[in-house]
Parts: sequence; C-alpha cells; structure tokens
Amino acid sequence: MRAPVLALALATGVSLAASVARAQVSLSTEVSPRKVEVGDRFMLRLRAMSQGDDRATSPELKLPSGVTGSGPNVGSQTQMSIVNGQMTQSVGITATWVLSASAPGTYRLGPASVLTSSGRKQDRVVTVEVVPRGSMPRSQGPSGGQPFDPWGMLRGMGGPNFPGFPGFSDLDQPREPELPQPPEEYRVDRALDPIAFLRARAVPKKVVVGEQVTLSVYAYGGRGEFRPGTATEPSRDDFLAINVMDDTAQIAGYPFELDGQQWITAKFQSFALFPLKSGKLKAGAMSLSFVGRGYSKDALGLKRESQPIEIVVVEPPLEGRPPGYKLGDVGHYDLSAQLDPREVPAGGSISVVAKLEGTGYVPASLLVPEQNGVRWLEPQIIEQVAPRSGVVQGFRTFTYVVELNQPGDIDLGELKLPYWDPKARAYGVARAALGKVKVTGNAPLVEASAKAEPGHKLKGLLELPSALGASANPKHGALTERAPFWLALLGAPLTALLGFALADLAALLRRRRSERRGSLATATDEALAQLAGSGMLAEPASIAAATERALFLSIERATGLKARGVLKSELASALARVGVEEDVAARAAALLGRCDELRFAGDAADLAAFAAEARDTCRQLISRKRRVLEGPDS
Amino acid sequence: MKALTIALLCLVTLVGVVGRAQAEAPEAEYRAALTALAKGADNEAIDRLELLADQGVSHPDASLARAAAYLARAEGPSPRPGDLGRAAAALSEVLLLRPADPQAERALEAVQSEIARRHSRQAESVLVRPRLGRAIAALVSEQTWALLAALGSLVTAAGLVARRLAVHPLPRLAGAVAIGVGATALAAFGAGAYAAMRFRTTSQPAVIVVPEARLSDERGRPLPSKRGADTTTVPEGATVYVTERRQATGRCQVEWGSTDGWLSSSELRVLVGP
Repeated sequence: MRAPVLALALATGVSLAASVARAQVSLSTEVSPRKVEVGDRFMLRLRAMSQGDDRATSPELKLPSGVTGSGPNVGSQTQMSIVNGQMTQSVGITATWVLSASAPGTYRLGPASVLTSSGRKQDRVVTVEVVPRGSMPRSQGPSGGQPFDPWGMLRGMGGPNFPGFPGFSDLDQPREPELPQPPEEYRVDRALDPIAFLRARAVPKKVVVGEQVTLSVYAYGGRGEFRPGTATEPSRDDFLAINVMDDTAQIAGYPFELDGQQWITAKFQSFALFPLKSGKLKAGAMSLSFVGRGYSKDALGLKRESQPIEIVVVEPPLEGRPPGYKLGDVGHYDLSAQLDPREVPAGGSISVVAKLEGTGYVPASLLVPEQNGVRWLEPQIIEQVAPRSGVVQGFRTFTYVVELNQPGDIDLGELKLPYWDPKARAYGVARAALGKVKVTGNAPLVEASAKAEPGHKLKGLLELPSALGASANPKHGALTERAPFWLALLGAPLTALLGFALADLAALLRRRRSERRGSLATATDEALAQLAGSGMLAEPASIAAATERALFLSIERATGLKARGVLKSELASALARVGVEEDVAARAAALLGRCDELRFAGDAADLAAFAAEARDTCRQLISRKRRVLEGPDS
Repeated sequence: MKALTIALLCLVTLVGVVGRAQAEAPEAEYRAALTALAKGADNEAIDRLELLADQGVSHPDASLARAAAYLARAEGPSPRPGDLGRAAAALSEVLLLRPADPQAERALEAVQSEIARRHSRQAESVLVRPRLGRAIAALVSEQTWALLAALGSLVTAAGLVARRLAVHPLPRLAGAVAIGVGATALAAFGAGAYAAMRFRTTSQPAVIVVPEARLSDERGRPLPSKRGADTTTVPEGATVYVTERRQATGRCQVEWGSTDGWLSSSELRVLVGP
C-alpha cells in the first residue's frame, strides 16, 4: 500500500515541478507617457516573455471608467541573452493598447493579464495622470503644431469635417495654407474609394535575396476622423519580417485635399521584409476597419483591404562573387575581433570574440580560418538587430572557443564575411585579422589517434590532379539530337523499298504500254483487212465506217493522236503539228470528210477506188511511224 | 590616326588580358581549393569548388575535388548532415563527365556503402529498383543505342537490295535473313535510342543530399510511408530523376524507383552532365 502512495506522491511532485517549469511567463507593464491631457492618446504596453514552452495568449486589460481605448495590437518578440556563457532564449508577445481619458484625474489602469497554460496571469496596476486640456506645453508636429492623429485627435475640432480644428475658429478663413502637406510617400494620384481605402507600398520593388524591402500600409479616410478597428497583417511567408513601426510613438496623420475632397492619411503599418528566396514574391493584402461616424453605423467599422504587392527578388550576380558567400548576406558590415590569450599550451583553447556590425539583417555566421591543428567550436552569439529610422541594423557578437593542438607559432589568418552591398552594387568582404598565437608544448596524442581512425578512409580513395586537366569530355551532341539521324535511320530501308517499288511501277507501265501498242497494231491490221474486203460488199456506209476506223487507228498508231476527238476541219493541221507530212495529213483529213459524203451519197462514188486510196493513206501513216521509230538514217 | 591605332592596340590587349584572366580563373580557384584542402580548411575548399560549379565550370577534376572536400569534412571533426550525399553527387557528376573513371567509380561505391552502413543503423536498408524502361535504356549509352540502330537500318537496306538484285537462291536467302535481323535490330535499338533520348531530355539525374528525404504529393503532403513495393523515404546518396521543377515553390517532381513524388529542391543536387 505504501508503494502506490509513494508513487502517487512522486507523480504529483513531478507534475507540479513540470507545471512550475512551464509557468515561466514573466510580465511587465508600462504606460507612456505617464502624464497626458484630457483627450490625448497614450500607450499601455504589456510584455509577456517565456523561456520555456509556455506561451502567453489572449492579453486583456481592465480599464477604469473615463478611460477608453483600442487594441490590443499584439506582436511577437524574441530575446536572446548570454549570461556566464549560458545562452537563453525568450519568446513572447507584446500587447499594446492606445487609450485616452475623458476627464482629468489619476487613473489606475489594469491589471493587464495574459492566458498561460497554468491559467490567466496578471501583472501590476499602473497609473496615468490626466490634466485639463491646454495645461501642458505642446511640441511641434505636422498638424498645426501638434502631431495630427487620425485615431481621434480631430475629435471636437472645427470645420464641416473637422469641427473645432485649432486655428480655424472662423470658417471664412482659408484653411489650405494652415494644413501641412503630407510627405511624398503618403501621396496618391487618385482616391481608390470615395470613403476610405488602404494602400500598400513596397520600396524598393526589385531587390536581391536578403535585401530589405520596406512594406508600408497607409490608411486614407475621406469622412473625417476615424479609429482603427479590427486589423490583419499582410501575409509574407517568403520573407523574414521585422516591424519597423515604433509602437510607443504616436501615429502621425496628415490631412490633405484630393479632387476637392478632404482626406486624412496615416501610416498604419510598416515592416522591413527580407526575402528568403528569389522569384516574384507576394506580400499579401492587409485589412483594417475604419471606425467612425462618417464611415459605418456598424460598431465594427468599415472594412477595407489593401492590394497585395509583388516584389521581384533576384540573386546577386555570380560574377565577382567571393567564395563562401551565402545567399541572403546583404548589407554593409564591419568586422572586428579580439583574441585571448596569445600563448597557450598544445591542446589548450583560446577565446576569439568577433563583432559584426552594420546595416542589414546582420548575418548569423562567419567564415572561420580553418587549418590543421586548429579547431573552431560553434560560437555563442549575442545579437542586437533592430530597426532604426526604418532601416534594420545592429550587431552580432560571436564568441568562439578555438582548440589548438599543434605546437608552434600559428598564424590564425582572418575571420571573414562576404556580403553583397546593394548600395554599391558590389560584393564586399568584412575581415578581421587574428594574428599569431604561440602554442607551446607537444602535440597531444589525441590528434594522432584521431588520424589513425578507420573512419578517415574515404577521402584517401581520391587522388586529385594538381591542375585541371584538358576539358575531359568535349560537349558534342548525341546522334539522336540530329533530325537527319532519324531520317537516315528509317530512310535507308524505306529508300530501298521505294526505289524497288518505283522500278516495278516503271516496268509495269512499260509492259502496259507495250501491250497497248500491240493491240493497236492488231486492230489497225484488222481494220485494213476489213477495208480491203469491203469493196466487195459495195455497201457505202460499211465502207465509210471501215475507212474511218482504219484511218483513226492508223493515225493513233502513227502519232498517238486520238483523231476522233478532233474536228475534221482541224484534223489536217493537228496531224501536221504532230509531224505528219502535210500531203498525207491533208489526204487523211479529206478521206475522213468524204466518208460522211459516202454515207449520204455513196451510190455515185467509186467505192473500190475510195477504199484503195484509204488503204494507201493508212499505210503511208503507218510507214511514217515505222520511219520515226527506226530513225532517219534507216 | 596614330592615337586611334594606339587606342585600338590597347583595346585588343585589354580584351586579350581579360580573356586570359577569365580562362585562368577556374584553374586558380581549383588550385586555391586544393591548397585549402591540404591545410585542413575543408569548408573553404568546399566554398571555392561550389562557387566554381555555380559559375558553370563543369569539369570532372573539379567535381572530384569537391567530392574529396565533402568526404574530408564528413570524416573530420565537424561533419554536417548530407556531406556524404554531396560527395556521392560530386562523384556521380564525375562519372557523367568522364564515364570511364575507375577512381570515381570505386569511391562512389565506397561512399554509397558507407551511407548504407550508416542508414542500416537507423532503419532497414532500402532497395529500390528503377523502372524497367529506364533500366533498359540505361544498359548502354544513348550513342551506342543510336549506332546500333543505324547498323540495323543499314543491314535492313542491304538485305532488301540483296533480296531484290540477287539471282542465285543463296544470296536471296541471305538477303531475306538480313531483312529480318536488320528490321528487328532497327526496331529494338531505335526504340532504345528514342527512349534514352526521351529520358535525357525530360528528366535530369539528381542525388539526395540530406540524410533522408520524404516524398510528398504536389501539395506537400507526405506520401504514405509505403507505396506498393517501394518506400517513399529516399535515403542520402540515392539517385532520383527530376522530371519537373517549380521555381515558385522551390520543389521538384522526382522519379524514385517506380514512385513519383515531390521533394524540396534543397534536398537534392541536380547533376551536371557534359
């Protein structure tokens, strides 16, 4: 029985210890300024940081009556510190409320609280003193001697849009000369919406990887005073983002006139974005609700969204790139280093503290001068990188422990950081020379035994030539890349096949022609024989038909001309054109003409003589063909 | 006129000097890398050789030196994850640029054995067979496929001629056999040449340079750990084939055995061929 009780007690103890370990959220609340006038805005900021896994969420603030405000605006925060060589990292949130009081007095604000894994945790109560209006000296600002605040500063001021605006007691007085002109970055050519709109602006829009782009979002209200309601931040997955707006500073607003309409503009958010890769990267849209009388009757206000912005990100050029340059190391940096001690026994260690400072998101690693017998351990880093005047800058301090194993005067060389300087548009190298260290005594045995380890065998497999040899494999296109290769590949057998097919076709045509010629000769002979025998028939129509047939066949046999398709009146000239002697052509044409006569008046004709003349003409035609075939010499 | 001549001479000299300096730059970087490697500055050697590769210098000796630098760091006191994979990638590149390099072949085999040995300590060893088409196409080089196909084409053509023109039965028979053999060879080797060309032009070999890469789908969701007979976890030093690259998302579609999946570009190194 005792054992389970003990186990339960132990478990409870462990659980409690774990919960205590988790509940490491520390809170701090501050109010700024501590003394304000009635209606003036002031800031209350709660910072909740944790060194463990515990995360603070859902910040809340209790306000006394007479104090109103907006928020919280929540941002994340990371802190690193090194104490006695122990590095600790804290993460947490910062919640900011913008408040104002409606009556003089001393107000107790809070306590502000956050939700942690162990429940809601509260901080102390803070006080703010509120004095009547006009009892505090004014500082010079952009709007008539004070910061022009769109988040309520115009409340109760003059004019149709700005009732009670200081310095405008008489409406007849011209207002224009009194209004401060907004800086260039606030100006727009046209209103994107008649009531209110947001505008996002990225400067510059083309950068290299790691170069700062300042993304600012401006709110424009065309219905007089407005307060910010619900707001979302732009998505920026491809960037490292740092808020460059000072949460404690009052947001300056500027009235201006555009196309006859009065507007108020203020920079609402501003981030330094550092692109993490190349390409066309997008910073997403952000939204803001304009809360005010002229904007929406809805308590949540009039929601407006800015346009997403595309930023072109390229890599810095390869030409002139120093060895060891890491993509993203962009800015302008100086490097300094201190080393201690300068004399150390072999196997001992020295400390090297290097400070890298400059403009840009200060790189988190340096190039260390390695050499045999010198071993650089991972550095401890202290950093302070923050925006100043909208530009991210700061320093990182690297504390290295360097083990020295080989005796002698060792020249450590120099620490380096290659970077791309976007202003100079050139690479630079920040350097810090380390000088020499005297290592006394003998080399420790550890080194020798390490070399003898079997794990060092792979590199030994490679023997490197002392210089680059001749270009080993000259670039030549593969055969398959050439279209003629594929043509030849399929073309060779296909050409053979095609050649044979053409040859066969030619032979076939020749045979057919020969056969046709043979049949024509037979037909002609038959027709002549028929003509020879036709005299005995004494039938004029039969003789005319036989004559026509014999003549047409003879002409076709002799010349290839199909005379049936030719007008008889043109036959003589057609025959002459194909090479028949004129007299023979004329006789043949005349005979064919007489055939028609014979059909109609055959009784009067000498049929035998006619048939003989026809035969004679046919023979002359055929013999001409023979002469042509045999040649003129024969 | 004289001034113009002098100016032209100066220009020509300047162009010559710049050209020579550009030609000598890789050589100087290579020597500097070797010096760094010799004195134990592995990171410096790697930086120099990687810069050479980034600048488009494709030389088997430079790749070999890069492999040596990664191996030196992998076996040194400050190894980084993926060093052996990067060494394997560099050695694979040597073999692409200089196929008959026994030193690189031996070293690649040793590095892959070492990766497998280390991998087998953590999990079961991974054996993935390449796709049949790719395996067949990789039996011989693309050029060899092309030459064999050309030979098949010639034999077919010769067979056709012999079959047609020969009068005696024996040459006619030989022609018929040549037609059959040549046409078969033409079809088979032509297909091999075409497949090799397609694989070369539509995919690029790459080597995994992280201790382990997990294949995911197009949206980045990891694929189930087993897909059919193949695993979807690709070990360091394994060769995959990149079939598509998306600049916007920094991801690549790869072929790993018979599985297709997506990996981050940073998990692999695409090999540069001749």
